[in-house]
Amino acid sequence: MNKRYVSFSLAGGRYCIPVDQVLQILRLENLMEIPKAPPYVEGVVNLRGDIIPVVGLRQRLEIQREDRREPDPRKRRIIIVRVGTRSYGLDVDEVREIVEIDDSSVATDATTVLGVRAEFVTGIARRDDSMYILLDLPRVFSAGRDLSAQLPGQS
Amino acid sequence: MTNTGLDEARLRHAFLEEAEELSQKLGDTLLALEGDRENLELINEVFRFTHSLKSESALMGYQSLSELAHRMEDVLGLARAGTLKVEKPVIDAIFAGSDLIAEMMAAISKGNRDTEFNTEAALKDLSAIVSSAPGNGHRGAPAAAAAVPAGAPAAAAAPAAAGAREIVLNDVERRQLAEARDRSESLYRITVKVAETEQMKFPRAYLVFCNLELIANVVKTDPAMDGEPVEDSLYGATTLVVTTAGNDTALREAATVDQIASVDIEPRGYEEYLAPRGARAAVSLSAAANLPPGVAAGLAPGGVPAETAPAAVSTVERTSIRVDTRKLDDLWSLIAELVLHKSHLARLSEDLGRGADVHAVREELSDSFDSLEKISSGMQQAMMDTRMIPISVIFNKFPRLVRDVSRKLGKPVELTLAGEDTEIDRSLVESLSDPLTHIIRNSLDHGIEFPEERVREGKNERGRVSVTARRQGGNIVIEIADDGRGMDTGRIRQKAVTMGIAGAQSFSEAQLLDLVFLPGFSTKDVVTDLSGRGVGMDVVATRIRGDLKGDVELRTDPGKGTRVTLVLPLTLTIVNALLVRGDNHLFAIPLTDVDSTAKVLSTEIRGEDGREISRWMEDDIPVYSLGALFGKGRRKSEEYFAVVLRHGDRKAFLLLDELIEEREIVIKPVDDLLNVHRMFSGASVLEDGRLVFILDTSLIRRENF
Repeated sequence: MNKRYVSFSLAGGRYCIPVDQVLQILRLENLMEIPKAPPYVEGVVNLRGDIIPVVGLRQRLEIQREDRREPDPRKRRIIIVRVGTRSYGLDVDEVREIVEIDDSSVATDATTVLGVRAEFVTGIARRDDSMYILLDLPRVFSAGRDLSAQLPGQS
Repeated sequence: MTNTGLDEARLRHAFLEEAEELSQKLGDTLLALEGDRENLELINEVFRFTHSLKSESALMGYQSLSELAHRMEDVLGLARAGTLKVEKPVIDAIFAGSDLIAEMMAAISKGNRDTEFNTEAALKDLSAIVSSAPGNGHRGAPAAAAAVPAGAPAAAAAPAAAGAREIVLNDVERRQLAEARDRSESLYRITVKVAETEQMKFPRAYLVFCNLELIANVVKTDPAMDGEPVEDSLYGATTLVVTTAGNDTALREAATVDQIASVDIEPRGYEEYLAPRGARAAVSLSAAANLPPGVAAGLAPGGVPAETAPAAVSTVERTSIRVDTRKLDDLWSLIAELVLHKSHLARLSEDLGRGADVHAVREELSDSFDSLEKISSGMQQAMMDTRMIPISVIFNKFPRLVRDVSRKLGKPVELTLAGEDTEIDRSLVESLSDPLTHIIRNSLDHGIEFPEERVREGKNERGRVSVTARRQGGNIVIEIADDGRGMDTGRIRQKAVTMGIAGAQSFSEAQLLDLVFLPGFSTKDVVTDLSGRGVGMDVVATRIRGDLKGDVELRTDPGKGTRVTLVLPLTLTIVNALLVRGDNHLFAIPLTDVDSTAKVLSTEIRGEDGREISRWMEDDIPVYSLGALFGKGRRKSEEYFAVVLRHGDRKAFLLLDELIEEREIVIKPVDDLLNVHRMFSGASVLEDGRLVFILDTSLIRRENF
């Protein structure tokens, strides 16, 4: 079955997230800094009165690929996604296009993904000459954040 | 019931709403009655709730439910008449019945049938009580007959309905009755007999009628009192249909005049007079089966086979709410203003079209805009108010809970509730009820000792549990405290070390107690044995910290008791806050958490880094700094602006860069991602788009803050 994804680039790699999880795409502006936030939280945007955390995917995915080029600030975007009942922003280098990917062409053997935390990846798809990394958004936003908030003595 | 023309689901919905409230009130009043068994007022109330439940359920065709309520009513009728003493078995039987009714209603609301419940045992108990009552050899005497005072003359003791005729109401009278029902008035059928010796019956009957009119609403009489009097002898026995907000004692007083031989007052159900034909027949079937022939004859004839009971019941979505009408009135008056301004704007637009002076129009527009702004913020507030309900909707269940659990455990416990009128957001009610119940249960299970042990410890035999709610800044604070044995932090530490929790050896008491909230820590074997509290406290913590974005904290005093404090943010609400700046961020501090503002000289700050203190009034209180909390450290200065924060019994200085202003802010929830250190209770966006974080002042209570 064909599914539609929004593809974007980040540190030289290509990533995809399902179209139906994307609410909106904003220019990277009016990002407000947050005191004492985890390193991967770059700040928040105010979207019609809602306070939406913006996550730096580079840090969150722990991308290790060497890519020293600074992203072009004019191309940087925030993709607002919906995960469960909450909304988050993803800071990405450039939003590319909508791609259709057939389920059968997705390799779910995620260990082959180099340089990205495998737990955040649902699979890899090859299309034409490009390789797309499919992100597991619910995991990106939930993993490892429960205990840090509950255990005393860690702040 | 199929010919009502009314939507079945809506009817059921209305029934459930009504019945649920009745059932809750019944439970509450029963509890009160248990503590004050002679109180006739309470007996009357219990009777009334039971009676209404019976009628309402009968109207909907819930025969099992209705029959159960009917039997309870029989017992209560005897109690009301004073022929039955309200003793433990009576209370227990009524409680059992009331529980069963609550369960049935829960089942009905899920789309099940009341007939799925086995009511046999409960019915048997109730019947046994009725037949054991003095002067009640026969089973199931109706309440009305039993209500006649024992000392009344023989004529009065005869079943009331013997001389009563069936009264048929016209449309206007039916409407009157429906309105009385909506006002929750009680309906009575009164039969007044004039003494045989009285020559002129009509004036006597008329006098009774007038007396009753003064205190109640007489819907209909038979024979009629208005118009031409019929043959005088017919007034020898007059039947009146009366609704009243008062009780039957008042009715009896009003009707008891000279030359009246007997007054029979029978509570009736509205359904008898209001129900559509099918339902009415169904009612008479269930009711008549238990009534003496004379009474049964007064009801509509004919039985209806069980198939006419409501068709297969589907699940009802319970989405409707009850709102205090005053809140709606507020909203309504705002809407009225809004409409006014709308027409004003329309007129201005016309004026412009006619070439009116632009400047004048602009000025008016600007005024109008100001008013609209006021109205819209007023509407916002009013809407929020409709979402708020008193926490008593949850607290009301606790007396019963404590009663049952304490009986089961054999630990007498006194429960005190306070702050029941604290308002909380409606959406919190459901998620809050379970954790609170759980905590209270734990208090009784593990906290409160058995009476012997308490006496040995020099404590009062009765344990004490208190539940209090209050608003504190942008938070609702709920405390559940007991005077039980407390928790043994030494054992918790041992357990933590065995579980391999890093650093447990050097954990402070607060940190140790917080472990109880960790999943897997508070397993049954551990905590029961730890002698304190705790099975499933992790679930409580998940609810409170996760779903409700609040906080939960345990404090214990070994041998003296344990206190659980829940702090819940009031989402969707507006608070007065002090806007401050520190480390180039804006923060808001709820005004209720601000003791005062002050200036602190650097020379007044003592102690080492991280553990600084300074003098405030008579005490040394900790000194914290916004800069150090959120940034690189405290800016060096001779003197600092400071806020004295207050949370519970603790105070602390908070040094900051600037005090900006006091203002109202709308609280928005903050995602956990932004709040990993739980320093904020929310955030707010100012008009200019700037973001303000609302400080969670409870952090001054934390150990490693």
